[in-house]
Amino acid sequence: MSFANHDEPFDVVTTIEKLRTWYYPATVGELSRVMVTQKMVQDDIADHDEKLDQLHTSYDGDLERLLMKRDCLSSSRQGLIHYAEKLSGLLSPIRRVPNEILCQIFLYCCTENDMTNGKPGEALTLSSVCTRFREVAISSPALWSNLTALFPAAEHYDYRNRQQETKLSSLIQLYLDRSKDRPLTLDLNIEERYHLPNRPSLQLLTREFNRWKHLVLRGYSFSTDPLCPSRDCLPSPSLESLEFRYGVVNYVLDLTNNWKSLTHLRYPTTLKLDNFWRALELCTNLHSLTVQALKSSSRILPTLSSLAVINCEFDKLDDSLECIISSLTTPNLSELVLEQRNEGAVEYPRQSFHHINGFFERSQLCSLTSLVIQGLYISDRDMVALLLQVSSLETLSIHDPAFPDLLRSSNPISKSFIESLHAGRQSAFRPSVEPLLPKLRELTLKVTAQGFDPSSFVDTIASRWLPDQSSARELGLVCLRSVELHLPGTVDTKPYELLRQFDEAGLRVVVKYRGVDGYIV
Amino acid sequence: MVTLVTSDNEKFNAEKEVVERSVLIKNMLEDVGESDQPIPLPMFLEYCEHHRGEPLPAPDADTSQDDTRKRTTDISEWDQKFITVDQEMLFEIILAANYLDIKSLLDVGCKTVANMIKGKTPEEIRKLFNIVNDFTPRRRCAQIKKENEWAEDR
Repeated sequence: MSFANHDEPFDVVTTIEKLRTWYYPATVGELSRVMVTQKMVQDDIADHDEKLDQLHTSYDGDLERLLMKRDCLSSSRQGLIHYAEKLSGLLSPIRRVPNEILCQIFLYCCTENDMTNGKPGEALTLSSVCTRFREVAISSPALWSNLTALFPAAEHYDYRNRQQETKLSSLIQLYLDRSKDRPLTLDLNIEERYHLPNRPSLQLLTREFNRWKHLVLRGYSFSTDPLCPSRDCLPSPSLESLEFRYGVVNYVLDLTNNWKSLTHLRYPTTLKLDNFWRALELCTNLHSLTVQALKSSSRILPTLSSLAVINCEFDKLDDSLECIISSLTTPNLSELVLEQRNEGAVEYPRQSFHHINGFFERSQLCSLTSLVIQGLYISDRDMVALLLQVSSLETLSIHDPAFPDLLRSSNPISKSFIESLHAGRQSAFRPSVEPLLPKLRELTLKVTAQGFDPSSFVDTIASRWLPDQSSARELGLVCLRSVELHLPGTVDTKPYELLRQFDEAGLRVVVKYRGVDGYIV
Repeated sequence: MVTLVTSDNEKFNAEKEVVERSVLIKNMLEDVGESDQPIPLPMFLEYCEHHRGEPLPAPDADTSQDDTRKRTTDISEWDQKFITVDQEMLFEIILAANYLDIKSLLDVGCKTVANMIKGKTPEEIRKLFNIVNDFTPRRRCAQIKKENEWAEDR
């Protein structure tokens, strides 16, 4: 090894060899040489240290400069990224939408303002997106006027419940403030055993009862809890619609109050019926009634234009749907929904055709334009017999029962039924040449049974696709404009291909089976 | 028959009954009268053709701010199929429907966007529509944070 700084390099090898022996400098001269060499080495080390220090200083300076340069570039890059994001945001398609349309979109978003389970409601969410959204949202009181709130069960007024209550109150107050003086649409669910004293959140709403326009009440407390302030508020002066949803038991309508403003009423099961009938007589402007179960007792409702009868629970001895329709006469009805919900039913409810037919005959439904029959076990023949009585019908929607009748004797949608809708042909159920439902414009069929016959369906639709008005007039028909067919499972698509040409020509055709991408046409 | 000319000069012939679903075109035709002169317009014949003969909605029907109860975001199956397009096209349709005053189509567009928004957080909405969070002033940020405490703490 040698060191370049010296004319005579250090002899490291010889030194190592000497170290391996018993060598010790024997003379003063040898000793002095070693010591001089040692001094030189130490001087060299010092010299190296100095140079290294200089290098380190220079290196640190360079590194600092480079790091600064790097940070500067990174920061500049980040700035450019943010700027690019902002530029990209400027090009966002939604920015092209003017504020009045944005407001329309928001109105569709804020139909509920769901505050249940910690949700803030759509209006508050929208107002937290960006400055423009916030300005549009806050300047539209209508967005804040719909509230859906859950008042959860709480047996103890502990810290947690008090905290939740405070937060819910703040949120409701925010909505009430921002809705200004607009009429309120409320959907309130008060769980049983909600016994928080004072309940400020509920009181905030009760204080505004003059603004209640549409009210949906869920839960038991409105009927049974004497603490519930809303009992005294019904009907509020501007209340137009009132819906009692599941679980309201024996709610007693206060007949001393004025129910004239009410145009829409939904009534649940197991209520005090005498009181209900009397209240119904006081609701002189009622246009729409939805009932789930009533005992038989004849009533004529001349103002009613919309009726929905929904049977949720089937009782073998007491079919409420039958009870309702056998008790009502509604001569000016334009919309009718008859629905049987069969989820989980062990035994199939068999709706008596005679009760439904009697209702149709009694009411002489000559103004009926829309009919939905869902989940009812009515045979195809009986269904045709019903439809023969409603020649004014423009929209028809029939849903097979959820559990198809294996014998197929009580499923309304069959090959014979479809053939009965044919514009030009007679069928086994319709001997007359006059077409069934001459004004039919929209047809929706939801089939649950397997083995649907596509050819008769395509044939019937083709017969009613009459874009040429003179041909339609000649046949005494209105051209079918929309058809929807929902099938229970994957099917052969080929027979339905023919319908595409009608779709391309202007008929709205949807044929689909279950599933996200189940569109056949 | 009426001749519609798109911005790239493509011509379409359509029946008067079909194009009159656009209140703008209806008014233009009434002002101009029967004429062979082409009217420059974007193409919305498919929608109008499929809704031919349906009664035109009242000017304030369903979108009136007075009655929000009736407002649903349900869209018929065919309209859903029609409006299944990318975001750029969706807003094109909305703008054109607004310009042409085709209320039913405008409603379908607005409902579609509303359905995309529903159930999302502010951040998800920003991401969906490429919106920049421009709440920079500290005070405004704090206010929004405070308003949203209810949701954040649950």
